[in-house]
Amino acid sequence: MAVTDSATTFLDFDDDEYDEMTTPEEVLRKMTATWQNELCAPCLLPTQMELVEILLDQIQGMEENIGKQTDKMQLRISVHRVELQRIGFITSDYVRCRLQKIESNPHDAIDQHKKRKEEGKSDLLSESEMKFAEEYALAESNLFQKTVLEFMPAALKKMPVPRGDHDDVMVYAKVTSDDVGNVAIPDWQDLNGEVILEMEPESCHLIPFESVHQLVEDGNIQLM
Amino acid sequence: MSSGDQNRGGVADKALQLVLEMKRNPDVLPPYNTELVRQCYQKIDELFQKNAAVVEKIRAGLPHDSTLLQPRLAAMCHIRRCMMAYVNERKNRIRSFRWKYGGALPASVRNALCDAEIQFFNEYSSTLARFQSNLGEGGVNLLLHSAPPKSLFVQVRALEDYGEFETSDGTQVQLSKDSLHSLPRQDCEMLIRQGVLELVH
Amino acid sequence: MNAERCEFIAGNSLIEVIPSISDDRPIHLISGDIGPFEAGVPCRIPVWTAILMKRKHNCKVVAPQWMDVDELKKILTSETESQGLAKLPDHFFEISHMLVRDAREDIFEVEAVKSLVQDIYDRRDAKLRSSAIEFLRQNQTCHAQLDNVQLIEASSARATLEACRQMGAVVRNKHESTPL
Repeated sequence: MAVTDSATTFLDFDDDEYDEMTTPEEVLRKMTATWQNELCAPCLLPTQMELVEILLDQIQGMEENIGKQTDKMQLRISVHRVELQRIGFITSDYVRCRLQKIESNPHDAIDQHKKRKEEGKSDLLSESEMKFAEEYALAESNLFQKTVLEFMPAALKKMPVPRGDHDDVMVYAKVTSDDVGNVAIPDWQDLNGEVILEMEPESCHLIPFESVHQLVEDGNIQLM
Repeated sequence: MSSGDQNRGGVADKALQLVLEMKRNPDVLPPYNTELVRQCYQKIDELFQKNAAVVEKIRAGLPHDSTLLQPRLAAMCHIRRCMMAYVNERKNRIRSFRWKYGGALPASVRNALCDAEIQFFNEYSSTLARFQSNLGEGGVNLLLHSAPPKSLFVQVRALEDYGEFETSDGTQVQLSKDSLHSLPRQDCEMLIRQGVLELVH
Repeated sequence: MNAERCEFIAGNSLIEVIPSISDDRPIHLISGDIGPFEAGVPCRIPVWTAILMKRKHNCKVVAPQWMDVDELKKILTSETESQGLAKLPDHFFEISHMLVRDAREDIFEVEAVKSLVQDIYDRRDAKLRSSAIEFLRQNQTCHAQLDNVQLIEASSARATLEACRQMGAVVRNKHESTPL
């Protein structure tokens, strides 16, 4: 029984982000770049859980196909299996990375998500990530309540939510687009000023993350 | 920080001990120190009462000494900060247990947790389980694929008499203590994590 | 991002192999088609697939053009002569590491190749180390340009950067909480 020609399966989306037909190959390429950025960024980047869902779907389809394979060409099966493990790894690693970031400051994740929604920006969290953040925030708050805060005098019963503080985190950034233009970084010699840098294609920089945050979101910079 | 710093007769000595307890035990989670935590919030209460007494005098227009109001408040905040750091460090380790052991804690670990911590573990566990089950069609176990795949098969040794085990390609394997096997890596991940199998190099 | 993950990413790069088996049906992977294979006819496949086939003795790996003693000597010379980092092929270190580990017999003069790659690594590491120290000890600018840095080099520097940032926070904390 022949394996379904999944490599030429075209997926189209109503979603604004996908104007053109996207192949599973391109989805995987985008997932790899997204995963790399998420690992290297100090804060949550806008969610790309849709890519994860598409790939999980692809994995399931392929697993069913391999199961049906009657021809015992061992190499083919092994190659498929390893590919599935690779895709399984990258999707799980991406999800785990994001969960970890949510857990490190769930209230900030929720606040940032709401703020972005108000500003009409792309979602920071997917629906299930948001639910996770809310449930986790509650579990954590219950823990602190029952062990410490319950026993405090009234004035000390509330703890402030820690801010997400990523202003001074440095990242390695590679310029992947041709028309990134200029980027502003803080001027250490004039606290009110900025220094303007030219970002040439293929150049690599050690730079404060905040200065390239938007460019990373836009896909013009790859974090290393 | 030397142990000489611990008992300087300062208001935050007990709070410091809480923090040091976690620092001194990086690998093993010590039992929740209910007694020390209680001493800390009692100290906060003591300081609070002293401040309250001064405030009373101010309200009643009586002579008072307000010089210690601010320092006492700072001390209370500091003790609270130490208590929060203690619970927070334990919380982080408890979270890592979920990723190590799955949803069921070994008794030795459970015994080191207070009730609130056990509740946190359970709530964290089910929150994670709900999230995982929403991934893809049938859910995803995020404990798997913890590292990039190196090979399809791994060499393992069974550490106990586990019994029969069926691999993902349908093969039945008998896992008896010290037996050696070459198994699909994906099938082994959970068993390795649980200490039933160990990798052989 | 660590060495393991860098190697994982490098596995996606394409490499030439000469299959020893034939199969006229391509393998339709999610990431694209591989094959069909004709024994003795070179084809390009991802490094991860090449290593899998190699382990099953299904192919011979064709070392990339740069993985040759003379080419590597040229790279080492240019690395020594320039102040900045030389432009290396993507995943240069990971690919050489994987091929030396899993396709030894297909690399001509493998020990010399291994040694030269190590020298290139060390030369670059020394440059990165001294420029990192210069960068960290100054307070004129928060930016440095390091074109041609490899992913694996950036990954290993990250831990140091994070440690410095945390030390900065500890020092600030101390200043803020120390009584005057």
